[in-house]
Amino acid sequence: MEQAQVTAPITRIPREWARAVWKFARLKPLGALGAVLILIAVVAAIFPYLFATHDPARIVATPFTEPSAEHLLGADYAGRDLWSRMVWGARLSIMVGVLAVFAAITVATFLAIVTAYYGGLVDLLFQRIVDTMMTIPGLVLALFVLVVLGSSLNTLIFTIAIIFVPPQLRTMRSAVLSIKEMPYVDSARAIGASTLRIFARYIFPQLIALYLILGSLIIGTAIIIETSLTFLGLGLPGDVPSWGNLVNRGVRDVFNAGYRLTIPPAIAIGAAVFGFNLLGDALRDVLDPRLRGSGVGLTGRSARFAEQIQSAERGRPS
Amino acid sequence: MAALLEIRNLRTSFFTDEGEAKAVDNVSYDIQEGEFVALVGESGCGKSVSALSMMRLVPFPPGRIIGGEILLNGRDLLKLSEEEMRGVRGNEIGMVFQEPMTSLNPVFTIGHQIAETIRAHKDMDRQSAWRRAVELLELVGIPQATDRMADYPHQFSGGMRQRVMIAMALSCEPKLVIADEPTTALDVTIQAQVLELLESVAEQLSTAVLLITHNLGVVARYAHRVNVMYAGKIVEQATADEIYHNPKHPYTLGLLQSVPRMDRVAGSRLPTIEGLPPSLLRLPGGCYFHPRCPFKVERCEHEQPPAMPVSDDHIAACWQWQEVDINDSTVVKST
Repeated sequence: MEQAQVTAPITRIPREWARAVWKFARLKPLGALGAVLILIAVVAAIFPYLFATHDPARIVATPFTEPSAEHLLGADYAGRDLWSRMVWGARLSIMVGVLAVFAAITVATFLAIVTAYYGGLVDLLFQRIVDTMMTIPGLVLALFVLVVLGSSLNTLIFTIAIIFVPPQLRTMRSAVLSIKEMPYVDSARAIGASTLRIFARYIFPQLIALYLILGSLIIGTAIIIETSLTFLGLGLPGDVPSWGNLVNRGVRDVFNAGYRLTIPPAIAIGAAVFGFNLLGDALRDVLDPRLRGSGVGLTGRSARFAEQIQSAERGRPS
Repeated sequence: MAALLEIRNLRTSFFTDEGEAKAVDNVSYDIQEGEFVALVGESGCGKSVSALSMMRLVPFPPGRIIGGEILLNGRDLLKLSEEEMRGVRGNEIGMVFQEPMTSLNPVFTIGHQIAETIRAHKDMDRQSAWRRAVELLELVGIPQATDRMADYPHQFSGGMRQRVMIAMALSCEPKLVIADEPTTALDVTIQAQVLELLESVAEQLSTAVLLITHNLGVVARYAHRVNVMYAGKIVEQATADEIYHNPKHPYTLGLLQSVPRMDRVAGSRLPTIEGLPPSLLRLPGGCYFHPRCPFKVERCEHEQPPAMPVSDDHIAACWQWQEVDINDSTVVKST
């Protein structure tokens, strides 16, 4: 009997979801725009063969062919179809961004729960490591790690993840610090819950909103780092059709083809990053309004302003 | 008959930068099976810490239990491993906290939370735990218990949540429930209901209750026995009747005389005990209560009074207890 009552709401879920999505779109049109941009990129990343008109690796035209109905964006220096390469590039860029961010936040959340809950020496030690890592600019740290490890898809993801762990660890830690003082954590201990259970059932669920917000906000940055590293020649190998590589190559061919080969992949990068930022901001406002103005996920001028304040507080020039 | 719970010379201190704060200082008392015992005192005098010590939940650092024994059915809880202690918490000793608004996990339904508690301690399958949880909710007077099982804490009012907390504390039929000021966060009208409920449910399940409160009015109605604490020490211990009709410690008398009464002239100020409880870091010498005590004599400033037997079932830690008389002494000051 109880079972029936428990399962009853589940059948309503699709409709409730649809309603929730609609409400979100009306409340946060910009966030919805971001979601649409991301959706386009993600669909392209998952099913590139549906949109690509040619094999991205094969030479299908003469070099620097002008755009036409056959080749929507023309061909690159080797005669490969640029549109198809861009579509396949979405897969790499999104994958690197998502995997790196997922890995970084997961590790950061796990470490934050453990160190903040126990506090004391372990916490202190981890925070000083975080301090140290945060003094090194992200891109410089990434260059260093990549030079040591060599560049491949896996090391690129690993490197980007490493850059993101310290700041996310700090944000997550501050959330855990306030959650662990909540009376329901005490009452969990008073009913005999084990520490692991408290982590998984009482602390982690409270972090899910923050997890999603931070994730969507930094995926954009992760994609930019990926393209920057690739542009600098330290990311993915030159022939792999990632957006960073396409821009890099396009710049080298500027005297042969003008900006025709550079601008489309650059727009793709911009749109994807913009999409993630918009969605992240909207998610933050909806899921956790208290974070507004806390510096989490600020963009543009406000971000630089917050950065200046923070670095002034830390006592170093920005 | 051996007591259900015997606390012997319990000492719990907080080690702060400014020194050691003896939050619980050599406290001893018993709780018999099925008994309703009250622990009374002002804020900051060690009531809650003594309860947390029983559950071994004193926040460490800075708090630490530094001595004594807590015997539950003859077994010393202070000697158990953390693992064994987890089997005691919730299972043999239940606890109801002060803040019902935030003492439930906001992300799970209350049915889930109660059933989980049962399953954590008892060998029960999901369905029977669920059925048991429904019974408990009915027991604590939640209407339409079956439907409300699927609700989240935010869908309940404060009083309802405290009922849920009581259901949860009782879910494994513990021998003892510690209720740490369970009604402070509730409306006055709800307070009575919740205490009424706690009393009747505890009686049905023959569970002993330790009620921590600062409200002597509440104590009069429900408690069988009363322990009065001041600055980490128990200053008076007696049956509820004795405490009300024959208090022998000036502090107890002061508390009684400062309870608001219906028959007082409207508009007059509430009587209070003068001064504040001392900081646990800077306790006065001698009797800790002497700076506020109208019965004070020379001796009180230098010698700490031991627990002195007033009668078989009544002790008071006061040199001057013979002078204290409810009918013609006044401790409070009304302006």
